[in-house]
Amino acid sequence: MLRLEFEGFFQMRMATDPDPTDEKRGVSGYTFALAGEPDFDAKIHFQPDEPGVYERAFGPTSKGPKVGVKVRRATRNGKAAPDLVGARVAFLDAQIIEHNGLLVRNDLFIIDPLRVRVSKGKSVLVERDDWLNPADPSMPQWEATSEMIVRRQPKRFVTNSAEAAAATGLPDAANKTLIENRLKRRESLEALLKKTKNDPVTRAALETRIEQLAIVTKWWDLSEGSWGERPIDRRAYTLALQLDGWDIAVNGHVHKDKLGCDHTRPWPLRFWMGGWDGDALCAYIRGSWEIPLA
Amino acid sequence: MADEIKSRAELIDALRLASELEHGLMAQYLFAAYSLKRYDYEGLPPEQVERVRRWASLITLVARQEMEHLGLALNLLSAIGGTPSFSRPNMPQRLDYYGAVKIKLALTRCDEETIKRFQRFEAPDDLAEPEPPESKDPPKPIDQKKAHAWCTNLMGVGRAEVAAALEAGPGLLTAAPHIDILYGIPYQSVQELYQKITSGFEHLSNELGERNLFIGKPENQLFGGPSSPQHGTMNDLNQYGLDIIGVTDLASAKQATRMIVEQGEGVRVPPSYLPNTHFCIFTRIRGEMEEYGLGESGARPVVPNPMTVLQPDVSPDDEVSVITNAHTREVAQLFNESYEVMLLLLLYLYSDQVKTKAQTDALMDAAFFPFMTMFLRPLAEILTELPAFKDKPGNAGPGFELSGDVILFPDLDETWTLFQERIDSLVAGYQRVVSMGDPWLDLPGQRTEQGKPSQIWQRLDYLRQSMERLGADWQANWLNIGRTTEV
Repeated sequence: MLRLEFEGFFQMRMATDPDPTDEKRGVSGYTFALAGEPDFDAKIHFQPDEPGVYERAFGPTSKGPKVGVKVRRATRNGKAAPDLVGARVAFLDAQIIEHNGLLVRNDLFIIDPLRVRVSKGKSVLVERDDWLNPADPSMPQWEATSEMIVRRQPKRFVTNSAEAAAATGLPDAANKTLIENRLKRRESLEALLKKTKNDPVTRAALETRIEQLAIVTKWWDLSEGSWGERPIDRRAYTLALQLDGWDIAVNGHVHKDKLGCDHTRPWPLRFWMGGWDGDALCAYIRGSWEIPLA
Repeated sequence: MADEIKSRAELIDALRLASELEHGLMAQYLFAAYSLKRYDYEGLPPEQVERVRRWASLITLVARQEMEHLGLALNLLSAIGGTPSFSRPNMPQRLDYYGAVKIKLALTRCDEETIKRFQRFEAPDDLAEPEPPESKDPPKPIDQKKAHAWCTNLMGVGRAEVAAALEAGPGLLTAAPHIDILYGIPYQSVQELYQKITSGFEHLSNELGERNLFIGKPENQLFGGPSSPQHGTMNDLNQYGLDIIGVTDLASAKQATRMIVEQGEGVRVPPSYLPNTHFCIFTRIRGEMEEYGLGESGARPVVPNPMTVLQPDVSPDDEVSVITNAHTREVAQLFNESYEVMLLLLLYLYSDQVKTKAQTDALMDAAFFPFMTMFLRPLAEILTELPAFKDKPGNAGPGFELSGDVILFPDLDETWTLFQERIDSLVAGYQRVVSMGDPWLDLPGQRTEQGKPSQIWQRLDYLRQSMERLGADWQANWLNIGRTTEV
């Protein structure tokens, strides 16, 4: 058995509800393709050099996420496999989707397509598809049954996750801590804006980010009859401390195998994604892939 | 409507009017938001596109909150035994359609004149100079300097004062700052309409007793938050900047009207919230239009009131732009049909016919996310990029056309058949528009990669796939429409 443990920040530049799924720039949600940035591609990017990644600046006093998901620990039949440590992990062309409730009705988004690649340098070590429908791998996503979709949905869901907070550099999982972190980011972006004198495009993008980060300070809940209950836009903090855990037995075609894996059995892939940063359009992933050897 | 609301029938009339007004405002705001330029190929430098996109974000937020107000008005209506309604006149309508309040119903692109009109709709009473009742002129624009001062000098005070003013009734309200004087006409502003509704609830609670006034079934209302059956699901309405409460007694009725007035006109809100009120949002956009010279160039060249046909109830006729481009008219008809089906789904949700949580969830699953965000919004955006006419310039837009009153209270079996037919018709409609070829390749920004269809066609095809999925789910089991997992 080969066991690969991987983690790191990834990027996903996508529109958020209530924008439609195919929105390319962002309007009514809280994520935006800003001035000077390319359109959203809505794909999960684990590596900074993948086409579609756009890493933003965070200013002089804020440390933002840096994209890069790698194997951190590896074992082969229980023994350390240092040759695999540092290998890059990718979910090729994957998207986290629900199609505005058309495909998934309960907020537990599916990942599709799912094709997992592990590579080192320019060499692909192993790469395998997971099929929604093993009986018909070419079946369009729109035709997936409930059972097929459930298999691809998260099995674990944690709010105010201490694990997600720690992984993303927060001392604890309190809303207050997260808001302080985002307000410090905002201060740093304001400093960056002051230094950005002759670049109207960058300035316009920074102005939007600063305004969006300020949302967390706008506490007011009209319906409760009291102020200070929660911010105007609750997503500003809820998703950031949320963790979703998947458990998928990868079942499809093996495209590459330089590690001597067993192609006849599924390869359990377990991971969580969380700590979403709507300003950086990044989140954290931590997981493992267990691959039976031939 | 009498000067003071003294009977249940008058209160129902006032709430029907409020619902109609909120619905009309929402459609106007959405039309304007979707007319704004979005892409670099539309002739603005990127930093200006960014500014314009921020306006679109703000106006869609305001429009969502008008949906919230509509939801609150329907709950108020339902609570006292009224019949919920989504009926409203087609646009445009003459200036005095709603009497002295002079709310001009028109679908116009988001230029400076439109924003001034919106700003006037949402103005607190002490900034909107009252019009002489006999005047036939459009209302004067708000003084932008005064508006800016209102929005920045932190005039808001405390919630307790808002509550006290609303509870005091019209007599005392007229003496309070920011509240206009009654002119012997039903209402001079939307704010005043809600104040009269509040007073009506108080009066009738005293006259009849709360138990006798609030006779509607609470389960016929839609609301979000912890006490809602939908709490914690995608259908929890208290998301995305919205808060819709249920109305069961005088206290909740007054809370609902207070929320509407605070959120719109910003009457007596705390300083930190003031910039988020509708009036201050429109004041900000108007200011930025002037500062950056975007009063005309921020929006696409969308023609006013684009309609697929000359609807019989519009007035005056010469303000209507009948779409003559055949391909665009197909898309516009699809928008109108999708809009009408969404309203039917919503109406059924509020009706006495829906009894179980599963049925309510199923209708919400279809009406809210898929219809509002996956179909209506993209079609509306697409329309503002399409030519309206076959022989002259100008872009189309979503006409929000209604072919008649939106009325639906048949039994469950009949409803199943009706919805099935309407959704089947929509599936066929989306299939038809993508089978018309790709007449949009030569429009600005539509050619991307060699050999690929236009962006517009690709988007329409995505909508086709989405509607086919919705149709298939409905056909499989209408109670499980759109649902693929157990909640």
